[in-house]
Amino acid sequence: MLFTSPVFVFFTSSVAILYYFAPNPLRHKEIFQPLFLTLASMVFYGWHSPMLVILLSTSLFVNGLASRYLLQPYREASTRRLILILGVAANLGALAFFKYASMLVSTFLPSSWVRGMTPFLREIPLPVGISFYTLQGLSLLIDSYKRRTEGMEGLLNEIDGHPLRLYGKISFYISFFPRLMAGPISKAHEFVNQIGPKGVRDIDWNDAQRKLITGFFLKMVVADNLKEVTDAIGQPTFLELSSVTLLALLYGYSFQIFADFAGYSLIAMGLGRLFGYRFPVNFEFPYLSESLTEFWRRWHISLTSWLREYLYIPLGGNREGALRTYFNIFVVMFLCGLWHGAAWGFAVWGTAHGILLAAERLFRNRFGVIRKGRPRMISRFLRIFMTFNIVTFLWLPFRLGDFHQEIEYLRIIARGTYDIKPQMIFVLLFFSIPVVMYHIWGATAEVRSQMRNLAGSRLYSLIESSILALMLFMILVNFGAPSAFIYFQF
Amino acid sequence: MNPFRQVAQTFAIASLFTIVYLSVINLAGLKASLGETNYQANMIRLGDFFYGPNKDAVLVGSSIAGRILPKYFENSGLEVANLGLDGAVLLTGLEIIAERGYPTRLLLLETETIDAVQGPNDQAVVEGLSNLSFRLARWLPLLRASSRPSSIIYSKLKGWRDRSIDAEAVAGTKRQSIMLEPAKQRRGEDQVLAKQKVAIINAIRTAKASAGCIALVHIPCKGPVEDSRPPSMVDEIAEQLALPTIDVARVMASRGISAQYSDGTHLIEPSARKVAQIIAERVSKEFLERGGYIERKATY
Repeated sequence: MLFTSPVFVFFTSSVAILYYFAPNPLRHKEIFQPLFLTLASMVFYGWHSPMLVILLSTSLFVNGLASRYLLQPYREASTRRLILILGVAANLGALAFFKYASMLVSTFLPSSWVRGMTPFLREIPLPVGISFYTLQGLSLLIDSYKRRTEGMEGLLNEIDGHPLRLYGKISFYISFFPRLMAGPISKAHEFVNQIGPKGVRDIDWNDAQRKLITGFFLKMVVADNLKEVTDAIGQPTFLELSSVTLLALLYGYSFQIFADFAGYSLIAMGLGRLFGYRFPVNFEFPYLSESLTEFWRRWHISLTSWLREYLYIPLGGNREGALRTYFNIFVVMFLCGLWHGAAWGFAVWGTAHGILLAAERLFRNRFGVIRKGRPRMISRFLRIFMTFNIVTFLWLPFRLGDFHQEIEYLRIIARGTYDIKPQMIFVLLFFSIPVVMYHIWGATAEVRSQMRNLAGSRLYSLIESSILALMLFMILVNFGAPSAFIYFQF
Repeated sequence: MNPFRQVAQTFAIASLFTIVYLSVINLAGLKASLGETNYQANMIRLGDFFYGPNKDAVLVGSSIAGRILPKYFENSGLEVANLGLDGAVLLTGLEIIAERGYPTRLLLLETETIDAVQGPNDQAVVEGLSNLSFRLARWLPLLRASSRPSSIIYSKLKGWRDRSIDAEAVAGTKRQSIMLEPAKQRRGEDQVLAKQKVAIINAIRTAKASAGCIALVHIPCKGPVEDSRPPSMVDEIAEQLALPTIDVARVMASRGISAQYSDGTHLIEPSARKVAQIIAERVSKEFLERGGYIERKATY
């Protein structure tokens, strides 16, 4: 069920009405609401293929049982460790089987063996959203194992209570439908304390409308329209195009992937708001980054934050010497690439980022951050420009996936041919402008804050409403061909 | 502050924008005739086709036919609706007519993609037709693709550019444009072609049931009109179904009229207008109107 489809609008409206106003059969709102939303999430998840519900239910069951055990204070340390290992293995095993088995089989086994396998094993269907809810399941297990006192009170207090309350909360945390398919990934200790009875008065309407309108605008007006031309990046279409067009398409894809994923994240956050919940911020104007390190602090923040807390720091982080730090960065980014998709193109993309991040760190350690005496604005602009270009060129392996195609694409760019297709250039320019404006909006946060003080909150709110109204108007009249979110494939 | 205040404010301003925009495009007669992407171009044509008034004739085909806009037939005595779909093939247009029905007197079938197989764009067209927004557009013109601000701007820019290319051609300073052959890429192997031929013949037979008359139209594309030839399958189909063929390229060549292309394949506006005139002229010569129906003249 696409967020942009009419059926989703009907589904969400019905769920919200029942969630707030339905007669409560369980008497206790704090039990009914999470269970009801879990049920609605199951309907949402199994809408197109009901078999997926079995997989999600298994994940909820395993993680529920394991985390309940891990949270109990009277369990022995060795048994708890064993349960953690088994729980983590079950989550990673399911992910590995459904996501990576086909890739590993086709890469490492002889082709004669592969041909002899059943079609299911050769091409195991990837359950949508599995990468996201697996990470949430892992976060729950690890946080439960650590018995964090901060942020986990919501679950710790339920240990001796009715099991339905605990399982309801755990299931709801993992499966809540706005972020089930593609995040933002909430860590257990950042979310479970929010679970509780909610009323209409808990909705932050302003924030919800801001996020929903901006999110739908970025997806339906920007990403869906850009997609119509950036699809030409795929072979064999790009072979016919000139260097300038291919370059323009690459920049267009850079804007499209941002609009698509940031748009999705904002819609998810806005929907969360409608049910009284907050999700972590996923994008913080990433194309304003002055370095790759900063880019990863602004792009898919919920994933990088998860990787930092549950992978980079346990590996030793930056505490065990420079070499080990570079190695850790490299490993984390390689896995980050592979997490995105079961194709070596994603691994190349992640590895390239890892190498450049390590190189950037080395350079910074050796030569310091900024050379004094240069005009700050120009040097800042140059760094933003350079980072944006590096990130954009690194989207190529991410988009094409095939090494030979990437080389061919770059070879055509290097030819220097400049025949342009006006139709493509028009679309790329017209629909990239909102992304540039969005980043300018981000870059001028301080100025806006001053303006707000000068103009007064009423005038400022009128200006903000006008911008949102313009986006709403564009959603109504200028939406593109409906398409799935790019990150749904991961 | 009332929590709904800003939400209400946003919706009120958005409604104001919508009313102002509708008024402006209606008063100024702004309407997109071309789309900035294949999908939007097709949605514009489908919107005009299904929600506009019924016309005497329908020109069905690919983007090559799509450039021969209905307005180019004005004052020619022939009203033509356009179902030339960008990136799609003739078969898709015929299937849409067969499935949805469109009472018309004359079907003009563009020949360039007669042997091209259906692809993702054809699928997108079919999906676009079933979208809720497309269905609502019947009653809400604002939702029609021809009302999109980006498409209106693109149409204006494209018209301006086409006229400047024509002016360059007249002045003899036009540069050689690149050659693209999108339809050829999808042309199938022999076996596929045989299947394609059967599918096209069946689709034309089905269309014959609702259309008074059917003719094949060869519109020039790619290079000088003297060298423009329809695909070989055209003669076989014309003979088998006894269909007349209007060879616009040949007529233009015989009259010494040249064709200009925006990208090596698609006609620019002035050339498309000339093609429309020739089609209207040939139709009036080869077909006659009798009792509300267009029929082939016995002398053809």
